[in-house]
Amino acid sequence: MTTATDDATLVRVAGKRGLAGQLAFEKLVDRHQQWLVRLLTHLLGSQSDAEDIAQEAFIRAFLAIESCGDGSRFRGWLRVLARRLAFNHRRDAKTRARYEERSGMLAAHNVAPMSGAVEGRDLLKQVLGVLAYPYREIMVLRFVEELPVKEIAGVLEIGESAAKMRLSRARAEFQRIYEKKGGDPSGHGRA
Amino acid sequence: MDTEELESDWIHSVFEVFREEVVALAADFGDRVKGEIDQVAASQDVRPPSAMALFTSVAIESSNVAVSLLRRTPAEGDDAGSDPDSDAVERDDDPRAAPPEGDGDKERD
Repeated sequence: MTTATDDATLVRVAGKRGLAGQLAFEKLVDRHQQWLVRLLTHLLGSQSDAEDIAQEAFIRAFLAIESCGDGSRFRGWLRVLARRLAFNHRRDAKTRARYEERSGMLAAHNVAPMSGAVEGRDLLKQVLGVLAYPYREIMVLRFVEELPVKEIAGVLEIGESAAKMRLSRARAEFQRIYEKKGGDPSGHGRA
Repeated sequence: MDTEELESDWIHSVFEVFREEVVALAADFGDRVKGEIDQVAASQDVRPPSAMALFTSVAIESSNVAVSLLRRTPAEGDDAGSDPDSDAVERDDDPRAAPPEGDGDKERD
């Protein structure tokens, strides 16, 4: 039995509600929590925020499970839901940060970037942290989730050509910042 | 861009560290989510009463019937105009059991 089939069965049972439905949904939580928190951590840059948003996404998915349709696509459906929540969360956080800055408080994300050589993971985190959010989002979907452009367009709720264009710009911007921070594209590491 | 192109892409290689990463979730994350779902299920009425809840409600109903039967006296039982269940339903602290205001004054008058 494939995971997709398992998901389809669990979604079908969850859609019937009752205690059996709740237990089926809890199995979906066990199965999908790891990748979902990882995705949200890369989108939001904070695992704590990612866990909060993942929890919210699971609750919303539970309440709307009937609209999931084909349960074998549960992961994709959950991803769209979580991405919307992350987008809203980030927008709210940004609004809050602007307010705090105006109030004379230093927003945590405005701390000056680290200088000097940083290795692999840290360099990547730094580059993603500087990248504009729409670019960060599409880079994570493409290179962490390894989604094809068509599916990315679905997650971002934009057209396929718009997704291609955004990805192309995101790549260029990523490379520019990566090199600026000492990364070496030819050696896949530091220059 | 197909899978082959993706795999030969230098950016894809750079992101490998993220793809292989296993996030160390908070120890109580799963339980926290399930606890929230349980609360939502109960409050949003998306979960019908459990078997235990149904059993409990049936047991309470049965005991009410038994109490009403035990409390019936022969005199009350012979009274054709009395409601046999009225004793079981009406309680001293039940405001619905109190006579309408003004009835007592009428009697005194």
